[in-house]
This record gives sequence, structure tokens and C-alpha cells, in this order.
Amino acid sequence: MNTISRNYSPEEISQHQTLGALLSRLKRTVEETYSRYEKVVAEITSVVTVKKGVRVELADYTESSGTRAKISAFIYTNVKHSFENQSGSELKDGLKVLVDLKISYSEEYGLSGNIRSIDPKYTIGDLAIMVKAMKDELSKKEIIDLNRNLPQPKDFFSVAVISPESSAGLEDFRSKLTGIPKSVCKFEERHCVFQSNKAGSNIASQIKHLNSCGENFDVIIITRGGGAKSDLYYLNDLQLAETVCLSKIPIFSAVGHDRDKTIIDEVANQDFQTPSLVASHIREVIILRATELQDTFLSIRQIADRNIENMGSNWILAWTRLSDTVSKKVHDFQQETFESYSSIRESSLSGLAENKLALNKTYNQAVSLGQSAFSDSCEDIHQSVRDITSLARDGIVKNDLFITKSHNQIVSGGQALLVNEYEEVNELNRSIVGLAENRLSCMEANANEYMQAITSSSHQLKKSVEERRKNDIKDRKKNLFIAMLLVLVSALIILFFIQNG
Amino acid sequence: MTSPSNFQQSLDTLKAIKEDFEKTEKMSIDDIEAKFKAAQLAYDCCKTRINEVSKLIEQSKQG
Repeated sequence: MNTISRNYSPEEISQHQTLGALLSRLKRTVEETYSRYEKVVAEITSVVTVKKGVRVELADYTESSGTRAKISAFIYTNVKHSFENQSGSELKDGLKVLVDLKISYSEEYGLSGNIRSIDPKYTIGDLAIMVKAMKDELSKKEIIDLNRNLPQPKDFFSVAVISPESSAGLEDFRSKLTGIPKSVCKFEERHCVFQSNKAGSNIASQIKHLNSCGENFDVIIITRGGGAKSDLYYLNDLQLAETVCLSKIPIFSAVGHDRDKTIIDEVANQDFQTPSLVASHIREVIILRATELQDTFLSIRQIADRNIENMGSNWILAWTRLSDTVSKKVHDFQQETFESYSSIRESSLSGLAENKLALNKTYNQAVSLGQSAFSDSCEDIHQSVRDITSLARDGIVKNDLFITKSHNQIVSGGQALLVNEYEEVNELNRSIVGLAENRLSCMEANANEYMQAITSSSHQLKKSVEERRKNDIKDRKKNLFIAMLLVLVSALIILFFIQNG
Repeated sequence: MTSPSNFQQSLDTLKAIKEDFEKTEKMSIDDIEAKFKAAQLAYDCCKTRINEVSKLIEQSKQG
């Protein structure tokens, strides 16, 4: 059976104090008890710039159990500048400081401090001293640079991750690597507790195991989320630092934010501020390398294509140039041939005309000579005829005189003797005439024969000149044709050789 | 799965071939063919990884 409790009456309610009243009493107590500034030694674990100054987180550590106390405090800008100017170092996390601190309490915001001054002489924090001491030790052993000097991984196929199980940092890391299949890159997670005195030795043993397990990891990543700097205390471990230095596999450190440096950050192959950044780096390198390979191949293909295209263009160019050259040569040859032909034609015509003129001249001279010779012959003949006729006439006259004389003598004496003499004279006279006629006809025959010979020679001369001219033109045409044929054959041979490389 | 050594070797081979192409002004068609075949072979060795990374890039663009 359920019992329903009775409601409080207003009087009963008014008897209980409120939270505000309680905290107001606390505030009064704090103000009364901590009304003055007090000297406090603490380490700065974070610095955040705010209006009119900075807000720092002060912490107090013990080597055995880590953080013992922490409080947030405000520092005015002038106080900060004064400290930085005097100490020569920036007000940053990791510094151990001696401050004038006054505690105040707000019901709304809780406890906080106000720093009036910082002693600049007290500038080195405990953690910084610790880290420095470890670095000195590693330097002495000459191992501090071993992992840092290992070649940085060019690509990622297999990655080992050491991280606290289910930490925010690991989630960030995983989310950045979403979508990367195992065939591209395999991630092997090893979980360790990071906030424990055994953190250093646990992480170190994992690193040693990853080095010796036979897997060819490209990198070992040590990562965790941000959180307070006090949580990093456990990672400042000399054994862990030595293991990192001696690891044959490059180690990437991503154990906190940019303000949180540990000895691992100092000696690792690469130091990343956050788990997200190391994951992004791995993703980018994988993409970059694959893209580089693909781009290189595509470049090769483009260059090869371009070379082949250029080769083709060169062929076309060479072919075009050759065609142009051949066309020009053929054109020039045609021009020369035409000019030669024209020249030959002109010279032939000129020669022909000259030959014709010479022939005509020769013919005319021959005819003239023939005519002259014929005229001279005729003149000779006529002269001879005239001479003979004259002689004959003289003979006849003499005969007549002789006959007259003889007649007279006959009349006077011996008629018979005269008759005989008369007959002899007549006979002589006829002989002379016959001889003259015979000589004349011979001379005419000779003249005709001479004329015919001249005419025949003239025709033969003309025919010979004509044949010579024809043969000359024929020979020139033949030589021209042979020259054209030779040029064309040469051009074809050149083209053949160019086409066949 | 492309092995790391194969991938790196292929990348080195491709870089060397590319350098050859860039250095040599005049290359015979036979040389071009031989070098391109070697490049193709190197690329084919890594094609699986290239394709998977290409998908990853696409996912990144979409995401």
C-alpha cells in the first residue's frame, strides 16, 4: 500500500534555507578569510585572452599522484605585459609562476582568483624542468634525434594507433578517416590507459610490440584528446621517451592541443597538435600519392600523344614543304622549258628566216650568175657568129673579087682553071659557114646544160637547208622531252624516300 | 590489394619515364611506344588503389 506524503506548509518551507543563502554565507566567509593577496606557487596550464586581460588556469602537481589543485584566475593586461617584459618569456602554459593571488567567490560562477602581480624570477615550471631534464638525458645517450630523423612516410598502407579506449580524440581520429577502405589503408588500434602512473610503461611496451610483431607498419600514432594539461603529466616519462626514440617505425605524436607539449612531442618523427590533424594528414597523403601517380601517368600519356601528334605534324609539314618545293621546281622547270622552247622557237624561226634569206640570196645569186653566164655565152656565141659571119662575108667578098678577077682572067684566058678555083672557094666558104653553125649550136647546147645544172643545184640546196632545219627542231624537242622526264623521275624518287622515312 | 613496395616502385618508374619524355626532345615512335607500354604496366599495377582512392575523393567532395 502506497503512502502519499503530506505537502509542506508555507511555514515549514520558510524554515529551510535557500542555495543562495548558503552560498552567500560561503561568499562572506571567503571574503572575511581571504581578504588579502597571498603569495602562491602554481603552474600555468592554460592561457586564454579575454576582455582587459587573460584568464589562466593554475595547477599544483605532485609527482606521485598528478594534479592536486587547480583554479582559474584573471590577470590584467598590464600585469601580463609587466611580467613578460621583465622575464623575457611569454606567459604561456607550462610555466611555473609565483603570483600574488586573491581568492574570491561568486554564487553564480564559483571560486576564482585575481592575480595582482607575477614574480618574473620564478619563470620555469616544474613540467618544463622535467621535460628539459629528459631531453638532456636523451641527448646524452645520443638517441634524441633517432626517430625524428627517420624518413617521413611517403604513403600509408598500414597504420598502428595507440590511444585510450573510447577517448574523444580517438573518435575524432576515426571520423576523419571514414570511407578509407582496408584495401587502401589498414588501421590497427592498440588501447592503453593514458591517465595512470603506468601509462608510460604501457605505451612503451605497445610500441616495442608493434616494432617486433612482423607487420610492416608505415607509422605508429600516439593520440589522445585534449583535456587538461595535468592529464599529460603521465606522458612525460623517460622510459616512454627512450622507446619512442629507438622505434624503427616513425612515430607521430598527437597527444593534445598546441599548448600541451610533452616529451613525446619533442622526440617523435612528427608532432601534430590534434588527433584530427594527424588523421587529415594521413588521408591527404594517401590521396596526394595516388593522385600524383595518376597525374604522372596522365602526363606521360599526354606527352606521348603530343609527341606522336608532333611527329604527324612534322610529316605533314615535311610533305607540304616537299610538295611546295616540287611544285615550285616543276613550275620553274615549266617556266624554263617554256622559255627555252620559246627561245628555241624564236631562234629556229630566226634561223629559218635567215636560212630562207640566205637561200633566196644564194638562189638569186645562182640565177643571176646563171643568167649572166648565159648572157655572156649568148654574147660570145653572137660575137662568134658575127665574127664567123664577118669572116664568111670577107671570104665571099674576097671570092667575089677573086671570081670577078678570075672572070676577067677567064674572059681573057684559061676559063677552066678559074672554074676550078671558084669551086674551091665556094667549098671553103661553105665549110666556114658549117663550122660556124656547128660551133654556135654546140655553144647553145652547153649554155642550156649549164643553166639546167645551176637550177638543179639551187633546188638541192633549198631542200637540204629545209631538211637541216627540220632535223634541228626535232633534235631540240627530243632533248627537251628527255630533260623533263629526268626531272619528274627525280621528284618521284624524292617523294618515295620521304614517305618511307 | 596494391602492395606498398609495388606502389612506390610504380610511382618511381612513372616519374622516371615522365622525366625521360620531358628531357628527350626527339623520340622515335618505337621509343614512345616502349616507354608508354612500361608506364601503362606500372599504372595497371596500382589501378585498384587509384580507383579506390578516386572513390574516396568523390566521397570527400560529396561529404
